[in-house]
Amino acid sequence: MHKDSRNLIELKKDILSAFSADTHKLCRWFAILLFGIYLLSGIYTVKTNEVGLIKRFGKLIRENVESGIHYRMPWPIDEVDKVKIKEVMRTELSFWSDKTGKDTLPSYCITGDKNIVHLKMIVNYQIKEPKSFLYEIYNSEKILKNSMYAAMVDAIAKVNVDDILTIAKYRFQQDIMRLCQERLDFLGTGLEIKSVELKNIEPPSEVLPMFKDVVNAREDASTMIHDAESYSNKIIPNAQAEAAKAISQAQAYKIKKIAYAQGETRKFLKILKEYKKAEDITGFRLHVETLEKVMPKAKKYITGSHINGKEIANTKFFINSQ
Amino acid sequence: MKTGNKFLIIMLVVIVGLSFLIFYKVDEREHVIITQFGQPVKTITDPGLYYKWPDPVQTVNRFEKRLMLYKTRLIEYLTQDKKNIIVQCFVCWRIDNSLGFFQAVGNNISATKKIDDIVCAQLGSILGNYEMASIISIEKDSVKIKEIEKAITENSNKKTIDSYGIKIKEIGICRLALPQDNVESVYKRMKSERESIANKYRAEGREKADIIRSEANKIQSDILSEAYKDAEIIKGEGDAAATKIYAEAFEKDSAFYKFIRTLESYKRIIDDKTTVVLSSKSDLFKYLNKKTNKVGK
Repeated sequence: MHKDSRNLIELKKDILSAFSADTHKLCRWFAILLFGIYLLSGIYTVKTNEVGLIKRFGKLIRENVESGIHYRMPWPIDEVDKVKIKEVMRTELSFWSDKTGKDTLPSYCITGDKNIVHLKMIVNYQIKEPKSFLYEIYNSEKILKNSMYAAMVDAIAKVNVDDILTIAKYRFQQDIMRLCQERLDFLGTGLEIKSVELKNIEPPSEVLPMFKDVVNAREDASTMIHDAESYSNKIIPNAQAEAAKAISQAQAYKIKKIAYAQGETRKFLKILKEYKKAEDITGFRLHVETLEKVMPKAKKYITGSHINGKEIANTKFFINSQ
Repeated sequence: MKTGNKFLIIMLVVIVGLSFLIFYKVDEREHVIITQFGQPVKTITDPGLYYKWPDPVQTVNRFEKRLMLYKTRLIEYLTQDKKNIIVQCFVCWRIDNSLGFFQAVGNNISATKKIDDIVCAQLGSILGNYEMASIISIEKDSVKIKEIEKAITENSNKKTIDSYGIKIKEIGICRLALPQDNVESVYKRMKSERESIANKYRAEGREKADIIRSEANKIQSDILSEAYKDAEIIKGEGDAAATKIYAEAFEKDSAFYKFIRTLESYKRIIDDKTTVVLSSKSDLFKYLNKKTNKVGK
């Protein structure tokens, strides 16, 4: 125990003596090291999506420091502000009533024809001028949002509800983008809107079924028209086919009639030619041949030609008049 | 040597310490007012490094230079045509005259209270000069929201710049709403509007469909009657040509034609239902009579 404490005291003495020789030397090196570290603290980096701005004693001395490793005077002389200039930021804006909440704020837009709609929009924006963004405006996102809200109120107050729900969506987005950018430029925010999207737009739930019925009605109307068109497309070609059939039948009839006439007349002329050679005998032959053909079918009564001096049947009918 | 070193270090520390007390920075985003025992003596708007007496004597008061945003509450106003509308505005403002601001307002919280009072009052009086149709209308040119905003900004600035050193850069209407009673009637109107639009679409659809159908029916009947006409003409041509051919041929010997045509007709007239009464004296039977041996008449 005693030996140990004596040893400790001696060790302390040894250390002190070893150091005391170079104390001031060590201090100097230490001071130089500290100063070196202080100087090195001026090294800073700017990332690829950023741009740096250097202030000396609060005053801007350099803008647009590109990405990479750089040096500035250490604190408290110089300061660096970095801005993510290439990053596209995104904010959602809504005029949408959440029934779950207290619902104290009326959250909707009024259209030009005094209808109420709820809508949600998304805005994508970028920092165009880092200097304005940093030193001109206090809360950029808040200002952007309110400029957007004002642009929405302004744009929607001029359109009617049917247009905005259907055909004018694109124009509406463009209007909002333009109106909002005008405001941002006027305020000198250094922000630039990249795009504006209408994410959702809907009439209030109280009247939603009626709006849907209008869509259905439009569908119904087009179905009715479509049906009528298909009816029309069916009956007209059918009529055309029928017409073509009637015409071709008529043409066939005409050809048949002429052919029959030609055939019959030619036959007649041929017979006539032969008949002329022997009129009497041929006439007789034709007459008898016909009777032979005809008479077997009929019931026949043969009587005397006259009863009580009267002719009972006009048999002349069967007699060659020649 | 040793004492000299120590002295040097102490001097350095004292100089650095004093410089922190004496020198001060003014940033890009602020105005500074130096007060001497509470009394403003100097206003600095340009950023940079400045010096002053150390603290209890002269104090640095920093003010925001950037554009700030304030939103008013939702307040119901009356338009010129006595219609109620609820409006909320945002106000973009900045400290324009920091000395004036420092003396009359002091800090940002009381500044927003003053802005609120002025802007809401202006909003009420300006809206009273405009009709509802200047705020909400389907006619683009009659909507004067921008004009209203501008008027409120100008009128408010008249009061804030001189009295408070506050400059309002822009006022924008960021929310428009209707009182709850009006909302109910708007819903009612929207419903009936929708119903009439739906009915209109259906009626129009039906009408168009009917037109298409009757058009089709007309075309169909036109085609068929035209075809009938053409067919009859063609048939007539056939009949005429045949008649001509017959006439031309039969004219050559009309007596013979009559003869063989008559014979031809017997073939059709006489069938198994026909009863023929023949005289024995007819030419056909003339050879039945033995008396008649003569051939011919």
